Amino acid sequence: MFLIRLWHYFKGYVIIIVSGLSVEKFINICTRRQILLWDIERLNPTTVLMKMSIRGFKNARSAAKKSGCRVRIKAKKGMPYLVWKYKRRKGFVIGLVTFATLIYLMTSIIWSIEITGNYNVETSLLMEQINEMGIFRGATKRSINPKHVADTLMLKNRELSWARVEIKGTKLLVSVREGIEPPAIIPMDQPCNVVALKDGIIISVRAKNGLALVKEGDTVKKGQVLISGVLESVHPEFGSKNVHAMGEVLARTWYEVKREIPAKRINRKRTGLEWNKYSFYFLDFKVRLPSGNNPFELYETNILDKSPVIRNRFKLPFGVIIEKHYELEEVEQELEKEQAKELALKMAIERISEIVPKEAEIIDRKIQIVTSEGKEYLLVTVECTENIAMQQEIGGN
Amino acid sequence: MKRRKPGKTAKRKKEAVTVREKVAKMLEIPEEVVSDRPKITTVGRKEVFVENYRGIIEFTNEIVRINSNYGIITISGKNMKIREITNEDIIIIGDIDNIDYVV
Repeated sequence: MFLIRLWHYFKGYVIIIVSGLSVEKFINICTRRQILLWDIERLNPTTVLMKMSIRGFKNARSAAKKSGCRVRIKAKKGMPYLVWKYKRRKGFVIGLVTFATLIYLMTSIIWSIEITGNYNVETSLLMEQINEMGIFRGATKRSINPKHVADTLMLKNRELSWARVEIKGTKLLVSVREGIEPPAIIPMDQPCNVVALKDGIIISVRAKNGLALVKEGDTVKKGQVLISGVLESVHPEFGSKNVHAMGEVLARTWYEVKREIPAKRINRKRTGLEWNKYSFYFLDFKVRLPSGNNPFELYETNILDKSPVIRNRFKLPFGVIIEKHYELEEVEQELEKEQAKELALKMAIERISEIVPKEAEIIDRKIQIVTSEGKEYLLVTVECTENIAMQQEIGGN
Repeated sequence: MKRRKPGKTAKRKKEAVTVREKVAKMLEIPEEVVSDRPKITTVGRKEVFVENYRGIIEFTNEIVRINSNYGIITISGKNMKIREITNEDIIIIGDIDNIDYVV
């Protein structure tokens, strides 16, 4: 019964009121013309209520004329009428279709990538590797093979012991686990010497293997053998034995930096002229708005992000970026001696922190002013304590 | 009610065994398939199912008269409706009291 009703609903039907003296004749004519009628109900001696299919209704007019009955439509029911109703509302239909396609398109795109479980491997590194595979915000889900991504990550990063990539809705979840890297195997069967990494004065020698050739207080040059891997026998007839020399050699080392003391300084000042470059962005896609070319040769840039923010918390994924370019001009400034020295010292210390290795411990710093060729120089010497041991294979070059 | 022509129905009213029915009996085909006799099925007192009818003569809430090849079938009762009507069959629902043949 339900199925029949559903069928009628899909095909569409009309509820009609037939009035006349011989309604039975009308029903007979209709049945003979293969018109399906159902739910026929007598309302009063001259009127009858019935339901009729749409297709039948087209033929029912002549039947009514023949039987002398009047047919009045009480209601139109079913899908076809609904369709006709909405066919007229074009905007509604277009909106519905666009909505459906938009939903489909939006959900077939990766909107965010989440990386979890990494402690030592940097998230940005993993993200870069993922991006290299062509996966970024806005990539289609179909183009991603999670297993392949996980395998590639595992191959590229030795530190990872496990990786899984999942697509959850519009999110790409990358979960990794890090393993503890096995300690480097010391190739004990490979003979080598310990040589000096740089010039210095020895403070202490701790040979773990091999024969120490230098002692405290010795001055060594770069490349000099500190701990020998060749062990000579007491009895010359037994020859020598090669070992893998290891050890720690602490030495005092020096670093020197020379910087000119400048007579004047060039200051950069804003001239007050500015030029703005506008671009619109949506997620990671940026579109530059036409705003001409940069007219300045010397300038500094300030980037402002104008994006609508809801209640200071939710940043919307689109907005306008304004790059403000300020024109600069160079102004020379005479320096006083003290000021110039300070400036040179600052520059020298910066340089020293670059060249002195991190492990080295700075124990002393000397600052001298030397004059040569009419110019004044600032000479900074730093004394450090550091391990200068470096292993070098025997036999090779 | 308009009376039907007596001649046409009078012939048919005899429950004679036609040639068609004889053949059907010989070939063991169910009789109702070939014969033009009406078949009336009732389910409880709520539903009457009439096949092989010729047309309805009268239809009200209290009485439904159906013409068939072998006379007029009168179904009386209360609150009667036609649930479905096609060329071959008619389904009547309601509180049925009587099913009569008027010959």
